[in-house]
Amino acid sequence: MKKTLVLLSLLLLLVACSGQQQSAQSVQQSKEPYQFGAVLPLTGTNSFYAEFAKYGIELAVEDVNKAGGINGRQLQIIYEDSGGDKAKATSAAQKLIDVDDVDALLTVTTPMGGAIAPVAEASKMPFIYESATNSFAVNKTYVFKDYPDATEMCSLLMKQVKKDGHEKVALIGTNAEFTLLCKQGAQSVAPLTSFETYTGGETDYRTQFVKIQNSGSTAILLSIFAGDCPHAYKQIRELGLNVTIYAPFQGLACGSGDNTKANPDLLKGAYGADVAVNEESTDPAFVDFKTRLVARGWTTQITGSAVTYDSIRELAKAYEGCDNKLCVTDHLRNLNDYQGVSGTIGYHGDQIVERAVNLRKFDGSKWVVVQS
Amino acid sequence: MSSIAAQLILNGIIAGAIYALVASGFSLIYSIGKFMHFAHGAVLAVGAYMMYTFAVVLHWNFYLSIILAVLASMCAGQLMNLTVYRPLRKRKASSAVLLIASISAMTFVNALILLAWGADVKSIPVTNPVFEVLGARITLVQVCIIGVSMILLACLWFLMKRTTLGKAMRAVADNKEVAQTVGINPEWIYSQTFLIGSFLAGVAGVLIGIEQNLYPQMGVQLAIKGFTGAIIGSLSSVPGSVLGSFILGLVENIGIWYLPSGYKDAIAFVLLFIFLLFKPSGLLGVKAREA
Amino acid sequence: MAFINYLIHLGILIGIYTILVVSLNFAVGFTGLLNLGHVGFFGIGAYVSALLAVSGVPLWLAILGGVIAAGIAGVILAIPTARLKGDYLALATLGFTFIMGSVARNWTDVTRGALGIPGIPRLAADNVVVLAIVGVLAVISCFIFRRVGQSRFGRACQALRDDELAAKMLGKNTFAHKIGAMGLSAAFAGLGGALFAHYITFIDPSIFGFGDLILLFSALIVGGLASVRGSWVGTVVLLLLPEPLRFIGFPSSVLGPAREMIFALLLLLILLYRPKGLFGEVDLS
Repeated sequence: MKKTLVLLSLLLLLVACSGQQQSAQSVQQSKEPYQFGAVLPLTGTNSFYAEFAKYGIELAVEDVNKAGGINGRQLQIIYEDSGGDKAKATSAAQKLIDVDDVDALLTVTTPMGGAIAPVAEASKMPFIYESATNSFAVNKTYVFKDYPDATEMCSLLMKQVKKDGHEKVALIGTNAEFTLLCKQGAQSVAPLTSFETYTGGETDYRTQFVKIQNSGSTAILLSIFAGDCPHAYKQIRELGLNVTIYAPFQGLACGSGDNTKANPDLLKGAYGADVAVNEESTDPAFVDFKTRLVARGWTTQITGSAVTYDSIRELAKAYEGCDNKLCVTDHLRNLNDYQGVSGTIGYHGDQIVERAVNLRKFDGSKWVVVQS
Repeated sequence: MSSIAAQLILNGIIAGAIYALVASGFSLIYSIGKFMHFAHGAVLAVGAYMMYTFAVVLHWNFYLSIILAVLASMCAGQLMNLTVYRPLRKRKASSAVLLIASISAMTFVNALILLAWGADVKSIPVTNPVFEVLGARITLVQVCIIGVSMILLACLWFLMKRTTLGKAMRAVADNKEVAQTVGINPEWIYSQTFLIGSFLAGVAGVLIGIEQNLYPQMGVQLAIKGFTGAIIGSLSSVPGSVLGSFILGLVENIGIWYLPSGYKDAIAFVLLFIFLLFKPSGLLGVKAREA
Repeated sequence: MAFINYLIHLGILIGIYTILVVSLNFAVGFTGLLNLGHVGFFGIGAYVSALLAVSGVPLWLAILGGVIAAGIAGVILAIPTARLKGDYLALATLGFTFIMGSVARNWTDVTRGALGIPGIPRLAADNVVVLAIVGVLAVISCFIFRRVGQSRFGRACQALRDDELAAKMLGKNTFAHKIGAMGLSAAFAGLGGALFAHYITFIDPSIFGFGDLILLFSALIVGGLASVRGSWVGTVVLLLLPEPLRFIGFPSSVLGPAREMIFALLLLLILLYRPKGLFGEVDLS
């Protein structure tokens, strides 16, 4: 049908034109602001992760610009939606690289990290991804992993579990990479009595909890998506499970502000592990960060926002004094002992970050860092 | 050991009741309208989120909020019927096209919900005492869900078999052209069907929102489960779809007792496969599917 | 201008998805099999090819392996489902997709579960070459399905779609035709999957997701059932429609949902304009 073919060609023309316009603008503006591209799951099952990531990014951009920008130029962020889909994520990344000509890329969650990493490396684009998997950054020059280590967190927690005298321990988790890594970490310390999973998107874990109850476990490691913690707590309470909770990614997930406020009774004797952010810290820089975050109306994922905040500031710092992207990766790789709001950060010559992780105890109303 | 068995069965029944709440409306619309109204899940989500807005954000009376939320769902469903499906029906769209239109409508509404309420999980707090039944634990809300799904089923049966409207609806379902010659206006029947179906979605949304918390994607997840349960029983028979939903719930929960919990979404299908190998005409056979 | 790289990338995706949609069309549009298992075959092709390639098998042998594995899976799935009617066939095939997803997620020894398979060898180092490869394969696929559709086999399949009883009475072995159609359709889905895996170079169990199923069926129905031209046009429309939206500068707080809403509205408008699909020939009830 001629009509349809005309329609189709118009569509293609539209894409081409809008793209040309955009890239023409970018050429003009190459002396103007730095632009970082953020590919986030703004829609889809992981949209929860995008929201607090955005707040962290926005605050970071504000602070970078307030401090004079990068090399005297301001910083801007261009957001793209991945919808949690790998193909869409690569399209978003290609658009940011080829059309917007960004200076760096950032993404969260494993599928996006995995999909974008090859594109970033091939396009020689500095790229930070935040997910629990190391493999995408291995043997790369431009791809960096900036996220706390799930394996380390869970082995830290497991040691505490054993110290508290629990003989039978259960791990329940979303069937995702951080759970598998947490399992490895926990089992490196002691065997698990029960290991239950559910597919991301499910909300009913009652039978999994019944199985855990039946196994006689007295401690549970909760390695679940932040958005699923309310469901889990509700079901633990309704089933009358008598267990002590150990929460990896505590600040981000099951020990976050809202979840803690809603379930203090379930968290008696609970421990958490997370990147070394002390949410109760009185350090003025951190208090300022926290206040501004809360003022945006998002009070519950301070740690999560802190991690993305730091990633942006790391990239900005790496750009200082650089006029090409390879230089940026050198700076990033040699970043050691950088004090971010989410703790001490360092790459120590590697593509994979080392972030200090610590243990916290729930004292009845808040999480307190356990001094080792 | 028997209290564990009781708890498992109860888990299955609770899950099944939730799926049944979704499946009944979906199946009603399918049997009369002859297409899959996937956006039923979105209508459900609207009910849940409106309940949250009225009861939690605005602090209005709880029961008033329920009524308003259900009304909101009915409006949303009817709006979809009038603005999306009716124009397509007028243009003689195929049922496959109606399905894709339905999915687009669901995408639209889900995005709207995300925009309006945000991506975080919301909950509707209620006093929810826990009871012990045969060593298993069940909450008041869960009892309500099971009870309501049974009552609604009975009401629907009564509607379809004993009322004039029900007879007219079945006439349109059997043969639209013949029904027209007897003076029944199919479009009016479709309107009524959407109102009733969306009423069911609204009730489901309110109950499920209270029981399982609210998140923007809830409509999609529940639509898939409801669709599955409905087909297991019989897509064009409301009692069948309810039965199928309970079977789905039970099989899922009892199944992962014996198998690793990661296989939960697959177990029901494996069993279904095996079942369909021996009985390809489905659970209730051909006769019930005509009902 | 680097903009061309972006277009090349879109072209590659269009090529891969065209293969998926045109093969789906053969099962659904030509043969009337409401096959929701297509994503399962896509995933099998991707995983088998990826696993073979990562363990050292030469690239094109690995892809062939993926195609064969998917084709066999199609035949195996067709055997028990051939007797099923409409919705039950849909449900059983949907179940197949869910089961494959579950296996990918839980058989961690082989598939690495949620960690996925990274570092899959590329089709070619240069994206232009990849585009050429994928483009040629897409054109060949369309050509094959057009010829098969017009062949005796294809016409028998269409006959059985329209009236299975009549076809049987005319002596057609409807069972064999269904198996053939499914197997062929599945093999090409596997090809699409393998190409996808070797382009994105990372796959994980989310490849068996519902989202892709919706995309494929949307492209299929918007393009029009039982029309090869409809398949590739539908694919182009569905994949290109969201792209211009990227250039609309919404504030970040509404970016994602706003674009989704516009996309949904545009799709609805297309359906209102062409209620039988752009090149639709048949209606499936």
